[in-house]
Amino acid sequence: MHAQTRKQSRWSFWRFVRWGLFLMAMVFVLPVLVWFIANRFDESPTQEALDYAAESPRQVADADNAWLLLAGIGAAAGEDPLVFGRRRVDRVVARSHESPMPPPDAAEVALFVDPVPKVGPDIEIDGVGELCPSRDVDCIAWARENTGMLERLRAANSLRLTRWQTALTLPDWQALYPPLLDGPVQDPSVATLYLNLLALELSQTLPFMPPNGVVIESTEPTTLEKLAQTVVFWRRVQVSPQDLISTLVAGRQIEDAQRIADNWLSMRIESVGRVKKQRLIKFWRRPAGPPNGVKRCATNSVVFSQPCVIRHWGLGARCGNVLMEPRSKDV
Amino acid sequence: MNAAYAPQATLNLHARHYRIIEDLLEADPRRIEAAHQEVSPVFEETFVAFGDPGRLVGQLAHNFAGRILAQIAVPAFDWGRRLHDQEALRRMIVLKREAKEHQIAPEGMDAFLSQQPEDLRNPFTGEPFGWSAETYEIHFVPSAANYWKRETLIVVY
Repeated sequence: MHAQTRKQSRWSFWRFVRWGLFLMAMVFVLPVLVWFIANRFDESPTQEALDYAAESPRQVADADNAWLLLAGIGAAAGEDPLVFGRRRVDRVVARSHESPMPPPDAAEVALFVDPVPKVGPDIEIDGVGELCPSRDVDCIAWARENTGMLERLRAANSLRLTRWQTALTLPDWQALYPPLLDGPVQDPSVATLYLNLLALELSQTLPFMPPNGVVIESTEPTTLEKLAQTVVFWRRVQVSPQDLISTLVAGRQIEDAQRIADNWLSMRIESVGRVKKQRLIKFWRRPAGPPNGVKRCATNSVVFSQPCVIRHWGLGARCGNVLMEPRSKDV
Repeated sequence: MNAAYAPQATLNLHARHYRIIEDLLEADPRRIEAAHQEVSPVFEETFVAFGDPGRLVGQLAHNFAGRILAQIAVPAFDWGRRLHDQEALRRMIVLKREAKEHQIAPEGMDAFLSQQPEDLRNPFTGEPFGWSAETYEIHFVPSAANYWKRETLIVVY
């Protein structure tokens, strides 16, 4: 009897332990199991997602793409900067397709060393370490004061500047580097230098202007037309679907050009009435399309490209904010 | 598929966010503040509710990683405001040119600015641009003050 009771209580003990373990397992494991199973089920695509997914990036031919020329603007003399830029893009894109994505190898690092390097302001040589701070000073006056530096930069960057002038004639702009945290970033400093040199040219015409402003028909219109050409170029970039960086760069370049035009107006206003207005109209024309040129630029196929989200886990912001493919319906 | 990541649910969230951003970017600048007010609850609803444990548990249950990805893909700043400000700057320079062409004296600038059509006024308010008779400046309070790092944008007449 006594032995039987002991046997029963031992059985009760083990039964209690078994149930206890089972309940504990249920308390901890069941929610995880439910959570895991719940996440095995996905939603159906919403109409909005279907709309975005149906859009494909517009295709810009290399020969039309000023962005690509800028990417290869440091190509060796004699080499086509568009071809050089394409090689860089292909290299980075190929690496971005590897999983896991490796860091840039020596060949890629070498590819991103410009055979014709950028030469910028040097505070030790020039006494100033930057180009005209257009929001703070009159760039035409500033250019006149820093003629020596600007002429040095013009000579040192002559090939790059010539190429940039070619880029300004190209009809389109499309960023092609994939969205990578360690990816290359486009450097638009040649565009800023170009504007500074236009300010310098305008400053050089001013001392020779007679009070009646007749001289404006000689050299100034050419410079002003170049200035207008840059505004037209960047406005074209701004109103077409672009990545955010391009949109912001375009906005800043337009602003700088307009500020230079404003500086010129301040000095030459007595002759404005004599300026052939059609030559200057591009400065003042309201941007084509909505005033906010970034219409629809926030949306793009990269954001809605699943591989982007999955492969660059944690880089959602990069995919969404920085490098955005355009939407075809805006072309 | 990751245990906390549902791809299509994430893309759905992306789409929802970006539709809102599009609407904000396309909003008339005169009602941009109202537009922000309108979309704010939508973002509140979809963003991870770290401050609300009850909602956070619900969000943890499904596609939590995807929710975070969709959230951090929302641009951290409204660059549309910056472009509206740049448009205002363009308008002020145009006004300067017009005023100079018509030989408007500084004393007459207030009246000159008041007579301007809609597309040469402050894009956010529809009011004429400000004029400072002391400094001969056309001025405007930018919307993206953090970007400009100044309280007013000016064009010296």
